[in-house]
Amino acid sequence: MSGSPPSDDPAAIAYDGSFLGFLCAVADALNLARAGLPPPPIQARVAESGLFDETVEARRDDARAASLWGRLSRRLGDERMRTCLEAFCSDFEGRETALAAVLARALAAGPAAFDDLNDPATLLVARAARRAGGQAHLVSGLVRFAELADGSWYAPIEPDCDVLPLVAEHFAARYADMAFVIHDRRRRTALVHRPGAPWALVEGFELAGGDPALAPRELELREGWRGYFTSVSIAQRENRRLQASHMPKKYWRFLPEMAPARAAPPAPPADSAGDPC
Amino acid sequence: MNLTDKIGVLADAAKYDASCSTAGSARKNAPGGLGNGAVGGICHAWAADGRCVALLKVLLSNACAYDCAYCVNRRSNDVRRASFEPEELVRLIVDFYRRNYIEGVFLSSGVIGCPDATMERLLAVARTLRTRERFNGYIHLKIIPGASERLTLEAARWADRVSVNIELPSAASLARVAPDKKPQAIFGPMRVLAAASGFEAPRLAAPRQAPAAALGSGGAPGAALPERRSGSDTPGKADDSAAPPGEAWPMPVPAGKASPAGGAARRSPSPMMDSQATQALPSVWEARKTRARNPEAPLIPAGQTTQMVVGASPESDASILTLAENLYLAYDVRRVYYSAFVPTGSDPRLPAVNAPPLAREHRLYQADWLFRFYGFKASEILDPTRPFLDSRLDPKSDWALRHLEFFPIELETAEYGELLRVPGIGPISAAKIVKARRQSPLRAAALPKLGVVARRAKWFITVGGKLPDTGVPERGPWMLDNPDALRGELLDPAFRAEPSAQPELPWENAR
Repeated sequence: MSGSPPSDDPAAIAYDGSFLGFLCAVADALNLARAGLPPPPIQARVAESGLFDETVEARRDDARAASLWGRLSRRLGDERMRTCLEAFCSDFEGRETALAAVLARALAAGPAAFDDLNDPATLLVARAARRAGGQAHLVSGLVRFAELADGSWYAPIEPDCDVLPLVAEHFAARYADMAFVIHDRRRRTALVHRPGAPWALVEGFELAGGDPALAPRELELREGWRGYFTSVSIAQRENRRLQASHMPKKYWRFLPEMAPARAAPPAPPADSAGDPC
Repeated sequence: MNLTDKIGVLADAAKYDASCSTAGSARKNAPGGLGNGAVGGICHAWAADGRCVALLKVLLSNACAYDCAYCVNRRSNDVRRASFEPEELVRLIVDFYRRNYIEGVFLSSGVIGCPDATMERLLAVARTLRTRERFNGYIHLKIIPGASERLTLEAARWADRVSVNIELPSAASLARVAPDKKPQAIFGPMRVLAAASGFEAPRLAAPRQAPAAALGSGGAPGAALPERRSGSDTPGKADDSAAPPGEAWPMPVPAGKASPAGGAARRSPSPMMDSQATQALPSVWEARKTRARNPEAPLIPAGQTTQMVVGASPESDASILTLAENLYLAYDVRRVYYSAFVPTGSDPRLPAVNAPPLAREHRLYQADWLFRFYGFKASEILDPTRPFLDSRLDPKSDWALRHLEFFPIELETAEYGELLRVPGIGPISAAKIVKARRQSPLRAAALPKLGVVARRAKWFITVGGKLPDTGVPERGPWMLDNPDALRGELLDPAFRAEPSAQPELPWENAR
């Protein structure tokens, strides 16, 4: 099964960008495959663009998506499904088409299809999952909550991959008693959690009224953390390259410990620095 | 002293402890509680020295009654002293944890008063966190040497991981450098903790009496621990032990069975293991395969660890690795950390060192990984005739160069354990090879996709009966008959340009 189909293939399947919408597109692709037709490419619909004239719309149907998810889970197991979700959340071009191809193959031949890294689609899925999974793991450590004046917690991130679906369970379990928002400012999405309620992913999230006011002790604690972070390094072993290879600079923006000394720490929208409360 | 200053002083005092791992505990959050364990561990930042910051690693107090030469907090050292009130520290931990700065806390302390009083203060912080704050994040507690068994067990109750540092790789060095610490104050708690986490040391043949007895009870880690609970605890016996400087803690050598003749199974790693003692003891990797881990265990789910300072005393790498292997086997230590000695002031008991021996520390860690993930034994890596690791070459390549008769390995048919012996193939790539070859035949060109480091592996393998292209004309895989040329290819890049440039190894001269 090829990851890059020839150009005279059936029209691409477009979906609405959501994971559930994608599953419906996969269901359509699986039907075509079952009928012996070549696998169509699957792409997120790009609003107001004529890029994909030759697309067929996959209608989002959450019940249909859930049913396919259930069938796949039973057949392939939770670990493979996690791989699928991670690959979907990555920023790799062609991940949707490759995922559909691997899923079709796994349904026919069993879950071991995920191990055949000689196959280009499988390799792409494995790499995409590894990238998004790795980034989600990194982000789970690099999120920095600020306590707001109303007692809730806010953390901005800007990851390359759409990691919020991958870290939601972790943060909701760990901070079960906190009302918090993790804001993906690149995608304008947010993970929203309130104590006692299930977490939710919100699209088109904006901070109402600009910079939120911080809790009184917030800046003092950031200063304490910065002090700790500086002290814990052993001067004779300094190795800035190693530091940057573990923690690439693109993540530094929201880390109070990496803010330049003496400058006010980066408060939520980064240009709000200097406002103590 | 304000909070930031205090954090600075007490973190500065704790940072020479290398352990930062937060793996191994899957402690669950409880309703109304805060935090949980992440079984794979999470790093939250990386300091300017490139080391991971996952735990708030501080001392409760850096005032200390002891005078250990290697330690920055020794009572004779002139540093700023500070202490946390337990309540103040509990609040700081919770504040940092809620901000996702940390995965938990690593608590230790200088010895204030007697060991038990100090241990009590550490336990008060842990107890308050677990009970009143309902904190389920990661807690790593240091056992103060000499703390009672009751307090050691209470630490195991609250903590995810505990550690007792050996600090010096031999009894003689400990006596010279850390005169206030006695071997039994270190190995006693380690034994208690091993038992508390349900570990029974493998009973092998009876150990030879002499070396163990020389240290008194709890003196040396060995394979047959239960017998050594009783015995004379005569103080000062440790100093009488025959161990000269440069020899590690005396180890009981189990009387091994004669090996089943080696020639038949050329492909199995076992014929490579030459000494009798190593035949009797399993490799750390083998021993652990049968040891179930429960990351949700009620007592120290992440087990115990220890640390050795490297370069503050004259022991060889062979002594250090043999000791580490014994600690893994005898006390089920999860990790042995090696901490390059950082000079923190002049003390006549210590060697004059300008920079910490980081290269040596790095090679020791590589060898340690060979124990835990590759099925190597200490005796395969080093022996009395080769007491130090080669600084220019990783220990696995070094082993392969000494065992060229084992190669080439055919990737289509080799067992997992054999794949692990190939330089450039690790546990992850070996597992991928095993999986991938079930699906379709392996192709040499696709090996990098499976995580194989072709630069090192290509000399040692065949794929489907064929030798991979080495990319170096005139230098085919017959290099296996030419160890010197092969060594040149395997040297770390930094050493390849000038093969003769051996860096200064100041610790070799330390006496």
